[in-house]
Amino acid sequence: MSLRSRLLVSLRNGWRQADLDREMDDEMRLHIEMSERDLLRKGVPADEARRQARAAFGSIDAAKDAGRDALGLRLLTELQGDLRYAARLLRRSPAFTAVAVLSLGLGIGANTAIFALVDTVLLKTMPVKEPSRLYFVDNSGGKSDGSNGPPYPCFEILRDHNRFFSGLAAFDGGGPMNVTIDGTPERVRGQFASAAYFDVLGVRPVLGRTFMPADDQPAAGGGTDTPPAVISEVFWERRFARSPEVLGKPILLGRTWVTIVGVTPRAFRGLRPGSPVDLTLPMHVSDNRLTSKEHWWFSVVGRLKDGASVEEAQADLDGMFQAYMTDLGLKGNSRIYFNQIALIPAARGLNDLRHDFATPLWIVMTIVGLVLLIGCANVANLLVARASARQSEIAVRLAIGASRGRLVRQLLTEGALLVALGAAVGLVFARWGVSTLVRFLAGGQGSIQLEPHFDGRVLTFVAIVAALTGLLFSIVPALHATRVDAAKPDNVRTSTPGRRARIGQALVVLQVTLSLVLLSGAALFIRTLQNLNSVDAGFARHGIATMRVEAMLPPFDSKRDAHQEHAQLAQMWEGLLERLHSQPGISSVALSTMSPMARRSRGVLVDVVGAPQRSESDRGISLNHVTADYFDTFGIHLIEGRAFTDRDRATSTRVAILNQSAARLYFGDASPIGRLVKFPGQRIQDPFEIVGVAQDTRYGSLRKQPERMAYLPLSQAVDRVSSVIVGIRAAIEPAGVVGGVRDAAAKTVPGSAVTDVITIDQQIDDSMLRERLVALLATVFGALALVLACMGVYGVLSYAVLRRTREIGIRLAIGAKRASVIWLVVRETALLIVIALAIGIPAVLLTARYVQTQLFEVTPADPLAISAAAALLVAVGALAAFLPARRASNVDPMVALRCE
Amino acid sequence: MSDSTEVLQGTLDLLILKAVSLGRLHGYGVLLRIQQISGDRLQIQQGSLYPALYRLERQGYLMHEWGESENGRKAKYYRLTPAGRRRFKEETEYWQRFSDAIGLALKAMPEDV
Repeated sequence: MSLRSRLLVSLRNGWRQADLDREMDDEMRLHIEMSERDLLRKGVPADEARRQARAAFGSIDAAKDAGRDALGLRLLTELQGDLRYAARLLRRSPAFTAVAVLSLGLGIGANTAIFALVDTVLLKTMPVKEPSRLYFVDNSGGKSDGSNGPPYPCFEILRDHNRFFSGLAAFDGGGPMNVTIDGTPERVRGQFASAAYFDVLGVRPVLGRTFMPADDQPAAGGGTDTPPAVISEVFWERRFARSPEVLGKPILLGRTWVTIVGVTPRAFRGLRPGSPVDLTLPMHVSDNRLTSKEHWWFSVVGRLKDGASVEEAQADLDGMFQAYMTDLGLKGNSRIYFNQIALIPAARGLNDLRHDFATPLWIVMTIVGLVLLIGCANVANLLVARASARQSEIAVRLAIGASRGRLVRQLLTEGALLVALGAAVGLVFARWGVSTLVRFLAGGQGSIQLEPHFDGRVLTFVAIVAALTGLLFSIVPALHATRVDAAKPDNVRTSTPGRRARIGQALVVLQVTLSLVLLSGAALFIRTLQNLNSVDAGFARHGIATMRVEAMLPPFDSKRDAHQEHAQLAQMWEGLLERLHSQPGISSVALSTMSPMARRSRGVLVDVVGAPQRSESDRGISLNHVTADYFDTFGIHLIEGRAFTDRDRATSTRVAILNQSAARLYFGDASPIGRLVKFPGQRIQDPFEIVGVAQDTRYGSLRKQPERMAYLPLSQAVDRVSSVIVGIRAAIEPAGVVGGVRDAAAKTVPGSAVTDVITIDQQIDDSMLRERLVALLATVFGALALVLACMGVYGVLSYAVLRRTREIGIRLAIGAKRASVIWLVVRETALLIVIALAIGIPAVLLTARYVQTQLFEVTPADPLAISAAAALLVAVGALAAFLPARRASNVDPMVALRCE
Repeated sequence: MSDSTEVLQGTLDLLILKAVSLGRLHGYGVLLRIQQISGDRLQIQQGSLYPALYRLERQGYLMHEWGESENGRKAKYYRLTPAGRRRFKEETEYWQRFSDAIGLALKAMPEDV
């Protein structure tokens, strides 16, 4: 029989232990009865027959014991005994138990919480059918995470003519949508997707239906009366209390009515981890971009046919893509970026979140791993110290015949019980930690919404971590404690303390070393945050609120004259600006198409008139349309020339301002003022005269070097500006001006919507979310490590003082000064810490390289960070040594001498 | 009973398998059957019978069913499983080879060497 099935039988037998016991008993008693009856039949007198039958059988208890053994019950019985014994011991020393369980609980809890996050963000595959056959169709040759799909007309070609996919579906990035349900305006997270989306992913509805092929067409093209909408189960529950009546319910999106036709299962919230989707609408509802041949605005996911290889599928799609691009005659900027098709595995969804958080999360995972190790060292230390108290007991048990293996098992059971308690406490910490982290990540404007579950994967992780932890901290003390000479139970106290003390010291050195690594890391991350906070971003960080105002424009018509249309739009926006100027409390206001930190960008090509054409990549520049007060409002200084004024009208000379980086690249040290630039490929081809140079500003991220930027007056826009950012410097809270902006927009902008209200400070905070997360966690866990290490130092020194009480007493008796006794203890601490620093500092220098990408303007070997961490450790070590040292100096020589 | 022989370590299992191979038996019956077929020449520690039965059952060679004993009590009857039958055959062959070899060895005289 295999070990496994024998174990199973053992366990089953253990389960029915009481039954088995009774059966054995019955069976053996029956045996004796029958044997007695046979003896009676042979004429043995009743008394004698009973006695003989019993004697012949022997001890029933012994037989049952052997029987239990044969049934595989002994191990279980012993285990029960061990557990009861261990529980009694732990109850008897509540302080030890509390410290140990807390050390383990914090360590295991931290690991569990971070693992739950790591699993959700980095490891889990999408809850769809056969995720490994799904691929994103990336049109930028793999430069993106797979989110760069083709323009819609190109998508239609790929969808209808590819040979290796069972289906291709388009879906856009998704985001907040303003809708009206039952007359109430609401904000939901929605996305647009093509009809094949749910079929390609293999997501079946829990209610109603998902999309049908006809849903790719608007009603006129043969679709249903109003476009269908599919909602998530979470939204169904939250908004409609799981009512089946939800099918057929109309929702108003902008000016379009859609009808709910189905609900998708709970697990599925779209393909973008961290951005769950509640409402999915057909692609054609989105807007008029479906016909645009040059707009790159959505992603494509496809399911490979069985047996099709990635290479052939990729080549097939790329052929069609290249033909499309050639037909389009697309050159220049678009061709540089969108050059070829690459298939990106889609099993884990779009990876923008993974890309941002992979390194920070692994760093934090490592940190909590080290914290757990420090906690383990603490518990091991406590166990070793406790073992001293139990040496006599263990020696006695060895002497009366307990086997060493049996005793090790007993001690390991204690460890297992401790770790089980620790894991239970850890789970509580983990739940709290996870919900705190989830709130932290959801807090910003980018709002990363994660839903980590304590599922089987997480629980398995906890079990594995707990098992390893238990083994780690109890095997050394267990083996050590039983290495006792059974022959001299009373003698043990003099035989081993040296070795035990050395184990404790080694553990403390380990703790202090790891703490140094963690604290140095925390210091590096804090300095990174400080540096980001103090970097010159090129604009004022405080007191500015921004919000986006969108206009609902008629569909784009390429036959309309761009000059005329743009002039009309400019007039509309100027009307809005005029009204805003008259709002109370606003000291400065400007409109722009981009704003610092808003994470949107508009890239175009630029040529200097009269200069030789530059390379494609040098021609790229960011374009921002702004009103006159933009530079004042955002505190951006002009280096040279002038800012825009109200006299820069649609009809006046076209003017532009470059930032320093652009001016430097295109004109070197020469002044650009008066030179002309053009923006090839745009609908407006007039040259712009450079009238000023503005200081560089960082856009989108404080980490990135400033990009080249050209500013144009909003009145002379080359783009069809359908939405602007209102930047306001106000004497009152930003919330106070939103109402005014809404009123003003309602009066001047058709179909206006005001969204994304946020201050620049908040945006900066959001942009540093990762850095803040890592710095926060590194600091919290660094502090935890410090506390644990401090407890370790204290424990070891207390024990050392206890051990040397007699020696100290003698020293004092023969005239040693108290100060020299204190020095005796402090010297031990100092030595331990010096050793730890000697190991720890090189360890920091070695490991800090791995976090370099997460740092900002601080080197991994930053002397300030390392010395601050070391100084903190020395200070805390001294503190931990203080109590034992004082106790040593207070030793009464007479008491000390009498005590042994 | 002075000429009875104590059962050798390890042979009790074989004797139990033999006894049970002749028909299903309860524990006491196994004892009686062994005494009967050995002509009362084997002495068995009665208490050690049961651990051996449990071990054989756990190893999958025996199975049990509930029945009524001669005195009308509920009793546990043991019988061989197919695996037990195979095991019994192997053990028997092994024992015969072993006892032949021992017999041969013990008959050896100085001149044979």
